Amino acid sequence: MLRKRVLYAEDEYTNRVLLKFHFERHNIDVEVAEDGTKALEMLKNNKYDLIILDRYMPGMSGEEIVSELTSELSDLPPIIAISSDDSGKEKLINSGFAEILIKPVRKDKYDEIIKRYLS
Amino acid sequence: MDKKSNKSRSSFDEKKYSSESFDSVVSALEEAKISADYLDNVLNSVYDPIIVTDNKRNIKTINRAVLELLGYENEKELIGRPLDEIAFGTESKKGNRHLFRPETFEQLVLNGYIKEYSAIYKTKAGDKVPVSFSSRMLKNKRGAFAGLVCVARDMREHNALQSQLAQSLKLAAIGTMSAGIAHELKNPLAVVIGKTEILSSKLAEEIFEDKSLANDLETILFCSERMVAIIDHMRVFSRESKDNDWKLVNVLEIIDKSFILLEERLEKTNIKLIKEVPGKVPEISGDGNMLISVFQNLITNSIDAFKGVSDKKEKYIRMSVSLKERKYVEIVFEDNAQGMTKEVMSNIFNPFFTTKDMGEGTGLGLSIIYGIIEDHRGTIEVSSKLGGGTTFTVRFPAAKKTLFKSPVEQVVFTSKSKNKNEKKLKILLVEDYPPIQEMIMEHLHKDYNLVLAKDGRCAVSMASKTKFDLIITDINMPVMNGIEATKLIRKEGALNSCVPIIVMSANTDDGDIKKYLKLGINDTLAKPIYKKKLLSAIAKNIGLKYTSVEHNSGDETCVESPPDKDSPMDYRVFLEELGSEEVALSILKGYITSVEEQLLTIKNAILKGDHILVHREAHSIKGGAGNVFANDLMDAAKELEYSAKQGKLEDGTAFLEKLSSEFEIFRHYVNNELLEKLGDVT
Repeated sequence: MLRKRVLYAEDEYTNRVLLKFHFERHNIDVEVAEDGTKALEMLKNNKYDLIILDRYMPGMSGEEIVSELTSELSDLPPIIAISSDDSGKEKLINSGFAEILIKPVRKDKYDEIIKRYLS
Repeated sequence: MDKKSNKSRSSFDEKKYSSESFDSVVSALEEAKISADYLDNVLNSVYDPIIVTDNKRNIKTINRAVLELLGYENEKELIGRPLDEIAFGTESKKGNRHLFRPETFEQLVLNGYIKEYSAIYKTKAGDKVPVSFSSRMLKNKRGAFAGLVCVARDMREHNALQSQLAQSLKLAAIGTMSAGIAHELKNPLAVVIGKTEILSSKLAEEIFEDKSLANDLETILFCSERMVAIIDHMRVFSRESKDNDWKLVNVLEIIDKSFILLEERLEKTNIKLIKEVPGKVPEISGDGNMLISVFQNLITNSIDAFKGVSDKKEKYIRMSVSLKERKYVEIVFEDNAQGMTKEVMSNIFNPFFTTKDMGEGTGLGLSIIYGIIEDHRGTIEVSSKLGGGTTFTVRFPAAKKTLFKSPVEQVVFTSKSKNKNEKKLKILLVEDYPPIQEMIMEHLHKDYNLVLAKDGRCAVSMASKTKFDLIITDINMPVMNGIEATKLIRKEGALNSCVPIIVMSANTDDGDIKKYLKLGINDTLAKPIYKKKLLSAIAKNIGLKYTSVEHNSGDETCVESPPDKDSPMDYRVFLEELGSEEVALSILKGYITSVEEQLLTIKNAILKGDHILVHREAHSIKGGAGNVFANDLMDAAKELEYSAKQGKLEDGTAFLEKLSSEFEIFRHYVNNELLEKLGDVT
C-alpha cells in the first residue's frame, strides 16, 4: 500500500518534531515546511493526502496559503489549520479549512486526525 | 466518388451517434427530473421543517413545512436569504442572539453535526417559535465546508408540558427538602434553647462571674447565625440570586463554612476529612452563600456515597485547594466511597436524576451545582469508578484583583486574676470550632492558663514565641491541620520541640494511635470530649517530654499529600504522550537550542523596537513550552507575547528577563534532572 503523505507547514520546532513523530508512528510520511512561502511551493509541485498549516507563520499565513491554493488548484486534499487560539474560527471554516486544531495539540488529537483523514 | 461515399458514411455514423447520444441525454434528463421530482416530493412530505444552506449560510433549499411553520407563502421569499435572519440562539448576550454560540459551532465543526439544540425560528409576522434544532455539515470532496442541512422541530407544545412537569416536580422536591432543612435546624436550635435556659437560671441565681454570660450569649448568636445560613440555602435552591451578594470571596473561608454544618455528620459516619489547603489562594468573585451550597452538596453526596461501605475500611473525603495555571482556583473533592457506573456518571448533572431512594434525594443537587458553577464562570468535572471512589474537580477563575487576607489570626484568652495564678501551667489549645473552644475553656480556665489558637498556623506561630507545658490540638482545621502544626512545632531546636501534644480525634483505634505517635503526638483524646476524660489526659501527659519514636519520622504521613515537586515541567505526562524517553529528551534538547537562539533574537528585536518579531518569537516559545508541558515557561512567554502584541516594548526587557530566568530554571531541570538521569542509565 502506498504510504500516506502529509505536508506540515510550521515555524516552531517542537510542533514540527512532535507532529512528525506522532504521524510517523502510524507509517505516515510528513514533509515539513518551515515557512509559508516554502509550503506553497511544495504544495504546487507535489501531491499530498493531507495538508496541515500553522495559522501564523513568517512569509505567508495559513489563511493566505489556502486562498492562493483554492484559486489555483482544484483537486486539493483536506486542509487543517493549527492555531494557538480559535478566534475567527467560523471565518476559517468558511474559507476552506476542514478543521482547526488548537495548540498545544496532544497525542490523542493527532491520533484522532490520523483516524479521520488518513485511514 | 470515393470521397463522397466516404463522406456519406461518416455522416451516417455521426447521425447515428448523435441520435443515440440524444436518446441517452433525454433518458438521463428524464431520470434526473424524476429523481429531482421524487426528492422534492420526499422533502415536502417531511413533517419537520428542513432548511439547506450554502457555505455562506444562505438558504438554498427549503421544504413546505418551513413555509407552514414560519407563515410564508412562497419559497422565493426565503431562498437566498441568510439562515441567521430567521434562526437564532436562545441565549442572549447583550441583545445578540446568534444562532450558534462559539462552543456550539465548535461542536458542529468537530462532530460534523449538532443535535437537538435549543434555537428560535422567527416567523414572517415576527413571532418567535422555540425549536429543537439539529444540523449536519455538508462537506465537499476535500472536506471543506459546503453548507448546512438543518432540521427543526416545533417545541411549543413540548415546552408547555415540560414546564408543567418541572414545576410539579420542583414543588415535590421542595417538600422533601424542607424536611431536611427542618432536621438541620433542630441541632442549633437545641443549643440555643439549652443555653438560654442556662442563662436564665444563672440570672435567677445572680451568678455573674467571669465571661460565662457573654460566652453563652455568643454561642446563642453563633447557632442563630448558623440557622440563618441554613435557611439561606433554601434561597439557593430556588436559585434567585441577589446581585448585591456578588463580591470577592475567599474560597478557603467558604470551604470552612461549608464544613461547619457537616462536621457532625462526618464524625458520626466515621469519615475522615483530609484537608489540603494552602495558606492563601487568590479570591474569586461570586456569591458566598451559593458557593457554600455547592461545596456542601458535593460533600453531602460523598457522605451519602459511603452508605453501605463497611466501617472497617478507612473512609475519607480528601479536599484540596490549589491555584492552577496561575489563574484558576481549583478545589478537588475526592472520596473512597462506592463510586458510580459510567451510565450514572453521564447523568448526574441532569435535573431530577438521582440514585437515592424515593424521598431521600431530590435529584436537583448536582444540576443546581452545575448551574451555580456556570454562573461563576467555573467548571466542574467528575471522574469515578464503581468501587473506586469519586473525584469532583471544580475550577473558578481567580479574580483579577486578588486581595490576600492576613494568614495569621490569633485569638488569645487568658484567665483572669493573673497575680494569683502566675504559676498556673500553660496550655495551648488549638481548635477552630467555637463551641468546642468554649467548652474546653470552661472546663480548664480555672486550673490552667489557657491560650487559644484557632488553627495550626496560629499554633505554630504562638509556639515559636511562648513556652507551653502542654498542647491540645484538633486535627482538621482550616489553614493548617493539627498534624502539620505538630511537625513544625517539633522541629529540632524549636522552643516547644519536646512539649507533650495531645490530639483530639474521632478515630482512636490502636492503629491510629500508633500512627499519631509516629507523627510526634504523645496521646489521643477521643471525641466527644468530656471534662473527666480531658482532665485525666492532661494529668497523664503534662510534665512528660516527647522523644521521637523513630528517627526520620514524618515521612509516613497520612494527612499530607506527597510533596509536589516544583519542577518546571510535567515530564511524566510528556513522556507518557511520547512513549519514548529517547524521543522526549531529544525534543527537549532541540527545544532548548531553539529557545536559546530565539531569546537572542528577541533581545535584539527589543533593542531595535521590532515588536512584531518579539511577538512572533515569544509566541513560538510559548507554543513549544505548551507542547512540553512547561507551564511557568509558557506563562512567562505569554506575558512577553502579550505586551509585544500591544506594541508595547517598554516592559519588554523586564518580561524578557523573567522569560530568560524561567528558561534558565527549565534548562537546568532538563540538563541536571533528566539528561543526567539518562547519563546514569546509559
